[in-house]
Amino acid sequence: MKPNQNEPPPPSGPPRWADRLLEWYCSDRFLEEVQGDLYERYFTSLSHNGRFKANQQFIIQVFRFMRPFRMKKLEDLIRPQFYPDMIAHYLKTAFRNLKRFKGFSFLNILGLTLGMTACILILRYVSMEWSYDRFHEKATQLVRIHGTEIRNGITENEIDINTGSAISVLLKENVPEIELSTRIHPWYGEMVVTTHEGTDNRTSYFENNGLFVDRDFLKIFSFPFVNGDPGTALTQKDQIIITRSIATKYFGSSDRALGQLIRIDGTWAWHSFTIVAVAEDPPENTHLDFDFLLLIDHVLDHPQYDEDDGWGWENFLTYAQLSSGSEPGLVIAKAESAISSYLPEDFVGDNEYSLSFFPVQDIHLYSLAENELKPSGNHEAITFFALIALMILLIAWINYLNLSTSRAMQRAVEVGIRKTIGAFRQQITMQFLFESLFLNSIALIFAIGLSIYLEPILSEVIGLDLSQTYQNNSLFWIGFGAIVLIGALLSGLYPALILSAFRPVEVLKGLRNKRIVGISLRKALVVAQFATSVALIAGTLSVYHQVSFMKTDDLGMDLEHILVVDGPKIMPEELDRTGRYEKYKTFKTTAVSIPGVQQVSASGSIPGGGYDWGTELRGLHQPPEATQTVSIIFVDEYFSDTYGMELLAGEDFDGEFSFRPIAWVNEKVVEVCELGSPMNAVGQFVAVSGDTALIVGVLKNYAWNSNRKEVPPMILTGPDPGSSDKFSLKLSKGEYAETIASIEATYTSTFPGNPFQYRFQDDFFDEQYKADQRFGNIFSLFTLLALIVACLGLFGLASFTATQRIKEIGIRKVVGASIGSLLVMLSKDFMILVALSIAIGLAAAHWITSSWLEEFPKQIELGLWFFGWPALSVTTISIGTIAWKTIQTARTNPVQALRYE
Amino acid sequence: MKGTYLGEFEELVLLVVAILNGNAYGVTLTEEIEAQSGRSVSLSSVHTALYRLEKKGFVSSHLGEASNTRGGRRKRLYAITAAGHAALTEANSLRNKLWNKLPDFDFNFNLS
Repeated sequence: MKPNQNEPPPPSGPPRWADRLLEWYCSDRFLEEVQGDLYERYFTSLSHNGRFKANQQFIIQVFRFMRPFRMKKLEDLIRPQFYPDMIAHYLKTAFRNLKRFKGFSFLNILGLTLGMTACILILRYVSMEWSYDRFHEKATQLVRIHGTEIRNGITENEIDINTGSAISVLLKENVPEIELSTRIHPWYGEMVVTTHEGTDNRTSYFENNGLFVDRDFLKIFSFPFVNGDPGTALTQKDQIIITRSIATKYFGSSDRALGQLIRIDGTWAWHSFTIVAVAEDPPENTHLDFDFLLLIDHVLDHPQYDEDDGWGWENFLTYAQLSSGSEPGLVIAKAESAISSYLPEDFVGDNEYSLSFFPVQDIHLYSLAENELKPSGNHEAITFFALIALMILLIAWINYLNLSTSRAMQRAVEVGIRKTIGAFRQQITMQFLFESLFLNSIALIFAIGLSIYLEPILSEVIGLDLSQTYQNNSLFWIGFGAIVLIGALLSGLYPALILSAFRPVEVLKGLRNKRIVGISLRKALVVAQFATSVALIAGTLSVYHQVSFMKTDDLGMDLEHILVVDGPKIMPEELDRTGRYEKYKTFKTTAVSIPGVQQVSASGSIPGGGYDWGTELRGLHQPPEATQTVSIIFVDEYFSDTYGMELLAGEDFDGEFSFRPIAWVNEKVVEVCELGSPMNAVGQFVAVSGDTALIVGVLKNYAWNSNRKEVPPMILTGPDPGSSDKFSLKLSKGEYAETIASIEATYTSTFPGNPFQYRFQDDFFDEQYKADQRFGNIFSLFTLLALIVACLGLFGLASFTATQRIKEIGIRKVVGASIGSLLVMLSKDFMILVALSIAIGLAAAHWITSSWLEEFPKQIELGLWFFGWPALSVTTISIGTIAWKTIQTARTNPVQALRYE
Repeated sequence: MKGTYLGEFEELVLLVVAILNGNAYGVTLTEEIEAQSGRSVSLSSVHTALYRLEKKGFVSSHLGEASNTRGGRRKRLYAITAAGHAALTEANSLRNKLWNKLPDFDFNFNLS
């Protein structure tokens, strides 16, 4: 309550220091009247008694007024910032302003809504990726156990998630902190499942998504059940658990499935099982996937493993539940010492077998292994996406700030009046902050609605079903809410401060604020937004180009028109190995004679479908340290022909394979075993898994696992009839329907009782690129959003400038300027900005894209398209935006503009 | 009744507030009291009495106009309330009652 300075003060006043003392101690409640009275008395005394006496009296009075009740209290020092009673009024004002400036408000809310929606959707995806395997009851105590062999000081199999079968049991028995443990052995191959055996409804299906597990599996992992009792579900060998979808597929409903018998024929099992429980389909957000669960005993009793000491075949995933509060480091030490006495003989000596624990919750995002059950996520990419989400939100707020500040003048008169009738500056600031919160809340509500609506589309874009996840991340969304709150306040703060600073006198007199506040800041922001858009466009194009390049580039083999048929699992029992081999031959011979079929081959695996056997490889003259991993596929003599592989040296696959250890290697083998040229390599021997194999041919490198990765050393070798899992049939171009029908007939007559399942090799192979395509999709989504947001920003800026220059435009029109020339004149400034942002954006994009491309062995070149398209599209869009607004302005009647005074 | 007791000085101030009807604020009250009673009264004690009277509900106040001699500050004007009026009446009637009870004797004291 300072005195109004509208009249000159009286010539002399009471002693300054005493006056100030009064002001210091006296509470605001009394100060004005006390001080006023004292002043009045002072001047009266001054004229009667003279200055000295008057001063004296004043001073004495100042001291005598010191009473406890008059002293300043806490509430005088803290002036209330916000008067809650005003909320209703602020709300009303905010509403009225919304309606008054409909266009501007619409733009503002639109920008905020889009930004928030984008942020919410992306964070939805991010939070899902972060949520993998957190729903298990004891999630934090679950680990997977990896073993690393150190022979003669060399660490082998560093990123091998598989171990032998012995560890799980050993550790559970000998280490108290390991409460539960289980092994998981995937089915590794197709099995045929037959339902309603012995009835007319007998149906067979190919399935490959099953797991063999220990009894502790259901206790360690919390997969919910539809029916059946998890406690007793997997206690006997003939029991099986299926999932809801399988139950529905086979029997129509989960309830009907319970108790039914199904028969499985495949590598590991050849008999019937009883369905004792139906589990819910595993959600998206776990690294495990299964349609069937069986006891691991089937695997352990199988000939492949029954003579294994538990350390040789490392095909098992070992998981354990640690007791709560246990220290992983200590447990590992205990575990290592526990197993040391059980290690097989060839380990003892200088060799070590060290263990490591990998938390189950981290597997999805952090595991670098390539053979996880489901494709892993990448924690770097996810963090990157989260940051981008927040950046988009930030840009939306910056736009809001921009737009609000540029329209500040509209509220100037209101502010002036408010101040005149007594509002403090802080109250006005509060009012505009409140309006900002209000706008943000409206935008948030729309954004939430929009994201719920768009969630299925998001699921499609990223290729994951978001609705099929178990998530409890209320914490995450509360955090998000807090961010929104803070952002709304911060972005509203700047305009609020500017608005509240208006001087009422100037404003009400009609003086316009000539200073254009923060124009350079806004220009910089527009540049940043467009640069981001440019970079994103370039990035999206790069991803698509790289993916299509990888798909179409020379693979070293020809995958077109190849039909892949799954091999039979159900064979007559009396047939032995040779007998089955003969059956395959029959099929092949018959099939190749079908018109439309050019070549038929049988193999254990197909390109893009993994390997048959992974083991050690070393050139004979090389030291042990040079041992590499080699992937082996079992094929027949028609394989290289079917797939169009090129032979560089040596003989082609001959007609009669005897079961000698001979190998067709690829160039990569020649390279890593240091065998010289392909010509030299033929006739040499290499050490493979403890045996020696003779190289009879060298094949040109082929990208078995797509061009995404480096070509690995690979060996194709003679048939192991037991592994003829897949038939590859090369078809001639044309109508396939008839050909396929004939093939099916041949198949079912040669292998009765087996379902006929086929797919096209090139489609199957392309699934390798799913992750990259998903990445590309998400990227284009970002790009679209960023562009829209940037345009809004530019539009706001353009409309502001247009309003500022409305008089100028009016005069020019009167003098005779055409709309075209006006357009050019108004756009000039912006074009410079756009050019600048293109330059920055392309530079940044080039740098980032180059580093991303380095992860691929074969890269595209960043040619003209990389620079041209983004520049062109951004320029076009920005010209369009500016033009729209400027044409609108240029068309206005000059009379109206000039009347605007 | 505690807290609504009207002290001697307070009664004085209250009376003058009623007398000055409409123009009663710190300065005028002090001057009037000094003029009427002949004793010197400090502005601060008058302000304090007014504060207490207002707390007891015997006076009401509002901020009036500012003037130059006050350095542009407004004055707080006081007016007596009905409760204040009642309090005065009560105090007065109490005094009268006691006075009436005094035995008739003259106030000329003899020294013996």
